[in-house]
Amino acid sequence: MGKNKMGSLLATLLVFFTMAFGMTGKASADDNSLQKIKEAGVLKVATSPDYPPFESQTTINGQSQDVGLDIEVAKQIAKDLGVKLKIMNMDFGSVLVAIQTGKADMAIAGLTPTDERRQSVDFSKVYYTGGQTFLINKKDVKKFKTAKNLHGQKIATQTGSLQNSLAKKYFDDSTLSSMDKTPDLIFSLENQKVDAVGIEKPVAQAYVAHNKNLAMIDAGYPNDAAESGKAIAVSKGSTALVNAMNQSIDKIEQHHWTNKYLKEAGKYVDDNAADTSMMRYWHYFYNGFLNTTLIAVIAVVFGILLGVLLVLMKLSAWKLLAWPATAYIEIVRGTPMMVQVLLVYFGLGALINMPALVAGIIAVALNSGAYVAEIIRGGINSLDKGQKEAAQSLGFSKVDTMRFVILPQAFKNIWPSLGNEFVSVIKESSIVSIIGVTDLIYQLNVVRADTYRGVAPIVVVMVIYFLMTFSLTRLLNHFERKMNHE
Amino acid sequence: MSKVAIELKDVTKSFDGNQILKGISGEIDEGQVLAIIGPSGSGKSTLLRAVNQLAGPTSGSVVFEGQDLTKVGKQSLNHLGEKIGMVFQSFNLFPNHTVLENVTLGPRRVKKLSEEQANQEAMHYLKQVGMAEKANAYPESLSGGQKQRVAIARALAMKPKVLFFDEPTSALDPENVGEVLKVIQQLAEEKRTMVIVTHEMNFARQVADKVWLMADGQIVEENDSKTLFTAPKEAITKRFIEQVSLV
Repeated sequence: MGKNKMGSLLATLLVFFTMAFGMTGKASADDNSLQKIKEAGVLKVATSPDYPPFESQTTINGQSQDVGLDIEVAKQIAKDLGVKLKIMNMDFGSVLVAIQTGKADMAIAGLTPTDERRQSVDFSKVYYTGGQTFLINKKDVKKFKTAKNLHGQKIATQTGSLQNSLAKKYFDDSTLSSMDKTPDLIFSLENQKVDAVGIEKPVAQAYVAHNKNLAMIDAGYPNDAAESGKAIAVSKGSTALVNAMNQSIDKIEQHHWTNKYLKEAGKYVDDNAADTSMMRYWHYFYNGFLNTTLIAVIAVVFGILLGVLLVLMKLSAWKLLAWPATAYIEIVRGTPMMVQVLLVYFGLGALINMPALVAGIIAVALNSGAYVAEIIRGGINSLDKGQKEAAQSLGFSKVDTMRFVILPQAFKNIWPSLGNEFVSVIKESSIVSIIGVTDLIYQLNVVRADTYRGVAPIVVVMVIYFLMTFSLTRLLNHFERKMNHE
Repeated sequence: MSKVAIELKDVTKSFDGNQILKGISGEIDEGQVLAIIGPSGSGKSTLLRAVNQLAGPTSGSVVFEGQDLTKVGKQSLNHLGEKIGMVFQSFNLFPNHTVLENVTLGPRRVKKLSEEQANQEAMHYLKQVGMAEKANAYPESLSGGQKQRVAIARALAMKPKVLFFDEPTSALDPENVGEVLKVIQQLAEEKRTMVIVTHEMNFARQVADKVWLMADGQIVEENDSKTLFTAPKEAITKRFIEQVSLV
């Protein structure tokens, strides 16, 4: 039986993945990339606004907006195409997936067209060449006069970045480490956990301008524009779109607009860095709080409905109902929520177009349903079997037995566990930030990037999460006491 | 000779290859009380559950109202629940419902009575068992004897043809046993068809018309209660009655 079960399980997964990724191949087979955008009248651009001055967020007239060099380039392309621009914010790791799955038309996020990336996506020509530098602590300026002095020292870079590969290649005698977020790298540097941070020139310039403890030295890598420049990624085979983008980039180069863009971006960076009090960013945290609450509440309500349905299916004598429920619960509980969120957004999203927030809520609800089902099943199993026998001896139908006898008692028993599930949904839903849902964690990263402050936003978000879960726990305890008095 | 209510033919029951009932045949007579006695583990409770299909027999047949219950579908079995009432050793009241709701839930959901009529009938049966004052209480506030009397009212409210009692006083504190036995005795006087599995020998002797003595999954002796208790045929019966009387 075990073997059989495994086989069907794999088959289910396979169907899932074919559905999810079958679409991609088709989309890139014939090149209607440009035509599609013009027909839709919208250019959808994926980016990750935590990398000033390339892209970051700022508040203009009370609205948070994406600004930076990349955003200006995207605006120009949209203008030349005669379509509207739609910016889609997400985690850096997701921007290439977004164009591969057709969620976005192009990705512009300070991307370097490496050979590795070229295997899965196509690139425009390079629109910016910045060069590579190292950020060091100002007090080390005498010690590290040039990059050569960094051999044998501790160097950190962003995970999966060009700087990361370059450091591996040219500083293999140094101690290398990597982190996901630039603010984290800067923070380790300031705390002397590392001696230098490999980073792009414009980004380093912005940091040096706003942090008097930091200094910048040239990385001294062999100069190769194609290797260190910035380009726009599109899905493979979108030649028409690449040509159109290249025309716009030529125009930008002719007019030397890049410097203008950078200056403007620098202004926003200055504005953000001038006042880094957390109060100034309260509405970022407030929006994050609202979205996190929204996700958790809807996901828990639908999670409970789904959980009841799953448990009824699982307990059914009818194998055709019981088996899919068991398989579903096992798969959901046996895979990370992060993978499920990505699968819903990029996989299911390839079939049905939905905003990231909706995808996030669906993913969290689908996940929670499986856990709730197991909690309910535990509650039912803990009931004395005499209850079922008594209902049966009175001639109750199965549905009535569940509705009037088993489920009400099971729910009363599992109330504390359901409360815990609610609390953990609030905490674990933070994973939806990777697809660009503007929950608390997402806002945290935006604020950290904007303010160049590593710790303060973390503390603020931690306090908010704690207040949410703590007040929820109190509320649930109150209801539990009330229920027990009845 | 009285009419037969339920006829058992060579009923067996096995759990995981262990045969608990080893071929039980016999008749439950209409309007009479059958007491089933015997040592623990002899299969008395298993027999009740096999007959009312809570845990149907492995083989053999149970004929009730001209139908073999082991062969009818689920639908008719639910219907049977109305006709064979059951009172459990551990009461099995629904803790999430009041006393009144415990009694009315069956008539309302299964017999589709209106709330008003179900309440009226329920109060009648609660009065009969002396529990009318507690109609709005929850089971957890009741003593064991009170719970069991409510459970009896709950079974009666379905107007069953046959009433099964599975050791109805075994889970009670000694001071509560009398009140429950009194209620059962009243029911016996109404000439209801009842089967009682019990360890209360004096009670069995008093109310039963017929007694089965079970040992090791078989009926060892069947007799009218007077004969069985005063002049048992089998040595094993004699020994069992002597042992129980000593306690």
